[in-house]
Amino acid sequence: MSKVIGIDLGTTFSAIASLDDMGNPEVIPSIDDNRKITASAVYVNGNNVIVGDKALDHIIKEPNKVIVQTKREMENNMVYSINEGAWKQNDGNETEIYTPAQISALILKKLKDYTSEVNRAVITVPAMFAESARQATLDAAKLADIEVIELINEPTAAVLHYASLPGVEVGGRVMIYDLGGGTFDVTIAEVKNKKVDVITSRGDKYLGGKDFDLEITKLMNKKYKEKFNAELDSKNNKEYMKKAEDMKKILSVKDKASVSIKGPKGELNIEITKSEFEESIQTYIEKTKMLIEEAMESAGMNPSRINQVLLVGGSTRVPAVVESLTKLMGKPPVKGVNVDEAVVCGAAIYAGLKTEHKSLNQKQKEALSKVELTDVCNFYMGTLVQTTDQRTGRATMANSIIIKRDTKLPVSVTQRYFTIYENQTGIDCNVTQSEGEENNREFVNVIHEEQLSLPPNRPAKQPVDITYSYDVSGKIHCLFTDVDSGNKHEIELKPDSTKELDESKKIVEKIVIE
Amino acid sequence: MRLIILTLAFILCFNPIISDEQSLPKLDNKNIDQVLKEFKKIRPTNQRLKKEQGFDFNKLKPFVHIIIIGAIIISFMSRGKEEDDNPDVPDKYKKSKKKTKIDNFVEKHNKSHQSSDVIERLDEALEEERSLALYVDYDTAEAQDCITLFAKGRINIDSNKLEKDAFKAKITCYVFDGTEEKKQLYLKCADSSFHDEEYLLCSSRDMEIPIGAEYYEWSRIVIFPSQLVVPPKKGKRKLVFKLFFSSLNTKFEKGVPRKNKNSEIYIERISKFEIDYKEPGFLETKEFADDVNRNTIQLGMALANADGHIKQREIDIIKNWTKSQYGWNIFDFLQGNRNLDSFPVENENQKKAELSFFISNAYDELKDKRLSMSKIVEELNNKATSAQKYEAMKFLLEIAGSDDKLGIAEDILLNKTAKALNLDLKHFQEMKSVAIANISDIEHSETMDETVFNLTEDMSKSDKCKRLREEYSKWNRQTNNSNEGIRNRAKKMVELAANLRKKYSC
Repeated sequence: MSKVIGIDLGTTFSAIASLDDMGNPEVIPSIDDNRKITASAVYVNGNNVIVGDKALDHIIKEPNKVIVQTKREMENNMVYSINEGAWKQNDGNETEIYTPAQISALILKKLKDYTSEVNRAVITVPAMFAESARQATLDAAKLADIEVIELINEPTAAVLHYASLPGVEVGGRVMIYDLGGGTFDVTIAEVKNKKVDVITSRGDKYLGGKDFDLEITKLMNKKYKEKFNAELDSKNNKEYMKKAEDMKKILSVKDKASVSIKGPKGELNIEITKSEFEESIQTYIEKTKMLIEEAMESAGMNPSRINQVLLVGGSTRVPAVVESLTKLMGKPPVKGVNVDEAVVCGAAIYAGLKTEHKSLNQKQKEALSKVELTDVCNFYMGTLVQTTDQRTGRATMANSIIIKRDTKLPVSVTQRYFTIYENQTGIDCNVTQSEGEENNREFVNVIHEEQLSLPPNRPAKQPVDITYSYDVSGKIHCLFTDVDSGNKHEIELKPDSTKELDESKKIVEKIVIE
Repeated sequence: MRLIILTLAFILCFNPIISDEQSLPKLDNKNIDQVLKEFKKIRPTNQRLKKEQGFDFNKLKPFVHIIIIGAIIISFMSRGKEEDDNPDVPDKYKKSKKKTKIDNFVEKHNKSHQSSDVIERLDEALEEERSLALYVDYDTAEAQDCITLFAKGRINIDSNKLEKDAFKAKITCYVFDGTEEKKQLYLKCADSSFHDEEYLLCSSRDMEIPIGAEYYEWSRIVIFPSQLVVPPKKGKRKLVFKLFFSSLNTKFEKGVPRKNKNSEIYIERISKFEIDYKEPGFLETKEFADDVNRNTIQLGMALANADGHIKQREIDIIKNWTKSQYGWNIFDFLQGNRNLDSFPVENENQKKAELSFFISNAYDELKDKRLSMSKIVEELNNKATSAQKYEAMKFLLEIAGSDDKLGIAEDILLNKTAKALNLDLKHFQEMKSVAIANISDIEHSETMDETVFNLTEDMSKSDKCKRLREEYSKWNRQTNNSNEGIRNRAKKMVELAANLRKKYSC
């Protein structure tokens, strides 16, 4: 029988959990080192690949072959060039390149090997992951031969786990502060016993522990330059980042940390104090504060109306983060949740909720019987239309929003639009996505575009109904209907099996994971 | 008499016909708000009336007299209170305490006790009392400022006539300026949703009219977005809204129905509305066009010179903008459609010469330091519409970004100009964001970081912190934009906003 599996595909660490016979989530340890979290690092050497912490062992000698921070590139049309040792736009000139989906697939395959019977799983994504990044995650799962039951937002998974903890009575509004290795999400949810209603989420896809590491490398460079009047070699950045990560861990518990760095003018023992480190990350902390303010404003709340603050993600171990949050919210965060495992455990619980009842045993059914989840749409979904600029009176193309952000899922909205001119024989069926309520077409992403043919010889102003349906799993169904003729164009935004993906699969299948 | 009234009231209360009458088709104008939505999107429709299953009025024929008398009594007993208590009706539109024709009729009838042809007279009075009434007022619909025509009362159209058009009628509204009685001017419009074939401001749609249809409450019947209602001149103007219910094939010419066998006007009403228009009207816009163009070119030249030297690319943008003004007229301006073909060829050379002169003259004035920004702005504030001022700012932003670089001097001048032109600074900042998103190099300095977000000295710390948070949120949302240029700019703006927040200890 297939296991009930949840996977946290993180920027720096990934994890896999299953629902045990009692219905409790259980993180499955690595077969390599028995650790419950696995570094999201991939060392590529031809068709031989090492995934996990062992991949990082090659970072000093062969930095170009070690691929890290893949998740940050999921929504961009980037590829990793082994030759250049970096993520870059695909110019088509190189052969040894890997897409984010391919690298993620290798990480998923590794996790899959930790246990048997992993066929289906819930995979977590940052709340603010755009459609393209969600699609890339689904592609990665497909390449790894994992059927995705559903994607779940990371903070949502975390609060689901928190609400499901035995002996924990959660009530009221909970803020989930999820600061991982590469992304930050803040989510506000209403929790009553084991029923979780997400209210809103905000996030920054370029804010995480890796940015703290980067700041430490800048401090290292500054100190090296002060001593030798020369800068550290940027070619060794990945090595410096690894050392910076180690220093960050020390500085999270001690007042200072030192490390020996090799540079162009020789080796230097560099000491960094806790206050230097904390000063260097203030900008990032400021960003998290702004996102919290925005989330509270959007939910119509202030700190006093938030009952509990829940920390998730390894980077919340940095004391300055907790201090700033405590000051802002007027209360300390709650303890008792493993910041590294909350997300993956929540994913496993959600997988249980989404698994057919007949596949669960009695204890599992009982454990999940009271757990409920309502999520919201994290984006504005719209379409491009011709409209008149209210201020200038000019005709202009603009984004018209059909589903608003923070609308409870599932949702289905129909709006009526009209053709513009006589004998109009087609309309563009554009589906747009944006984090903000954007009218300007430059500020939205068109995630799908096709044409709907219309019958000729009709006057202008023919009604066209556009219906967007967003289900609980975040899948979007769009229907464009010409009311008069009944002509329809349907768009299902779900994983596709394009030729490109088939080719990707051949590449991934050739690779042998150590 | 009281006994008769009470008896009638009793009969009416227990007569099942009344409950039927209450279910008479009721006009539902919920969907009229959609007009505004459509104005934002694409065009208006026929969905204004909610169709309900028609009630056969013929069933009431045997009881019609009783119903009419009953209705009059009820109306007589409750009318004053209803109107006074109805919070939806603005005071100025509430009926006066003066006696109406029905009041007079009932009073007279009570005195005289004359019963001859009473039903006919009652019927007449009732029809008049319940017939369609209109008023115009400022309104907000779909978050847009509007001028709305409200209606209440019965849409009294012969059912046989309606039947010919499948119980549909065309509703049409024109607006004209009646300030000068001898010189009434129809308002014009460039927006295709709100003009007829002759570009007269007009709202027209087909709507279903069930038998006995009535607006029981003041309801929106026609909505014009405020910015489209442009009178000929600035100041206090008397506008007249002319509403027609007609057969579907009725065509209009110069704001009045064409006479032919297919045209038939069922109902015609007018409603007057006084506005105090703060901007140049459409006649003045035409009159001031040259001055506004000259001022805009001067502003462009000043901005191009903001960093100390004028580049060829900046001159090219000024030239192109100037060229685009050849075909300007009020309709083109409103729509932003500058059709060069529409400009008479014989005037083109003269116009070209004039505009070339503006450019060279502005350059000379700039060189000789005779260009006064305060005078330019003052003249624009007097002679340009806000649409023209926003257009001017868009032109300036184009010049500022023409070298793919935004310098501090340019940014300061942009901010100051927007403020001096009394524009909505939030909207200007949005316009600037679009321009900034496509500029790869923004001059970096402590002052620049603040001006780029339009932080000014008169702002409090909390205002600055709030502005920075809004800017951070705005740019953070663009860090996944599919356009790489915008994505990269967004990442830089996010850093800038966060650093300033740190600096201000927000």
